[in-house]
Amino acid sequence: MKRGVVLFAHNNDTTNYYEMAKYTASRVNRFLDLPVTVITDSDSGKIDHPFDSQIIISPDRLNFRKKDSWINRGRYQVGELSPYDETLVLDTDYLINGNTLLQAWDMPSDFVCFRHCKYLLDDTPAECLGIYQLPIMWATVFRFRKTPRTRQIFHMIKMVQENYNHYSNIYQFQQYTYRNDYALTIALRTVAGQLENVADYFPHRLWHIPPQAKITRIGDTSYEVSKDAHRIHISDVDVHVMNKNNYMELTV
Amino acid sequence: MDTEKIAASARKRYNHQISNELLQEKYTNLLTVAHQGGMWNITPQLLGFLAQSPTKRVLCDIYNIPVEVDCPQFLEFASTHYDSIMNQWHDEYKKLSRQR
Repeated sequence: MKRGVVLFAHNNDTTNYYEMAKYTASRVNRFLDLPVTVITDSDSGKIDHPFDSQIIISPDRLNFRKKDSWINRGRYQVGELSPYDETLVLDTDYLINGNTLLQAWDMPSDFVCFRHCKYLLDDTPAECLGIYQLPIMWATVFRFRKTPRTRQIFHMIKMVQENYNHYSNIYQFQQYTYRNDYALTIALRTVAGQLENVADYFPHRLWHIPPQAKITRIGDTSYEVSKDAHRIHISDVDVHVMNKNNYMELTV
Repeated sequence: MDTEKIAASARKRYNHQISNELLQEKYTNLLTVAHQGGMWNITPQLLGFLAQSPTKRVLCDIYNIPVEVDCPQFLEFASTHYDSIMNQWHDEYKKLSRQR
């Protein structure tokens, strides 16, 4: 059974996701001992690359977040593009500091993602989707096997992406910016008959470093997280660094 | 009364409390493992139950999926893993306490 990690990296005017992907891939190789495939485009990708494989696609560039181009559409294609039988898909700003994610391979469900999250040094309540306050399924990290059910999930994500206005009207959320988390939430619920299958969720929480906080490296896998006058130390845990500039500082 | 000092102390206590909570969550997560087709929280209760089970038994895992497990084999794995994680937790907790 071939296992590996897939990263998406499409640069925009302000963020070099490809460089972030290179750093994330190096940590995947080191802590998870897994091959990494990057899905990128001809403008972002390099001929001489450090990944195990590189797939060039023409991305959909029609998405914006705070006036910046945010090229995050098309993730549903990973179901077909991934060269692995079992695939772990990570955001390029997911900072790996140990081998906890390897647990994903042993989980019984053919699709697992995070349902619960925690913002460090931030009391932001868990985000919910739209008027029905559905709990968000996070697309930051997910693992899938190539099965009929996961093909349905990716087909559903594609349908949500292509009809985002329609789904934003049904669920009553803002439609200006396409979000993979929203598409994944709707897709998983739809495929499950509007029920939740708890076996589809990682048993622990996704830790976010919120944009207003700063993470600074102390050691190889140790960091100080600070926000306003507060400081804490964390070590040997994986975190999602939401501030892309902060993540780039860690790659130096 | 020096309110600046009180505020500084309060911040330190807050930071310490948050660090301790994160430490607890980190190691509780590490005590969740996959074994014999199920996902389990390794707890003293589980270890005690396994110790009393000489052969195979059906247990519900954390997803309430019934899984048949070889209890002696599971006990050996679970108790080794539990000791390793708890020792690491203890060491890191002691370091954190010294910082305070």
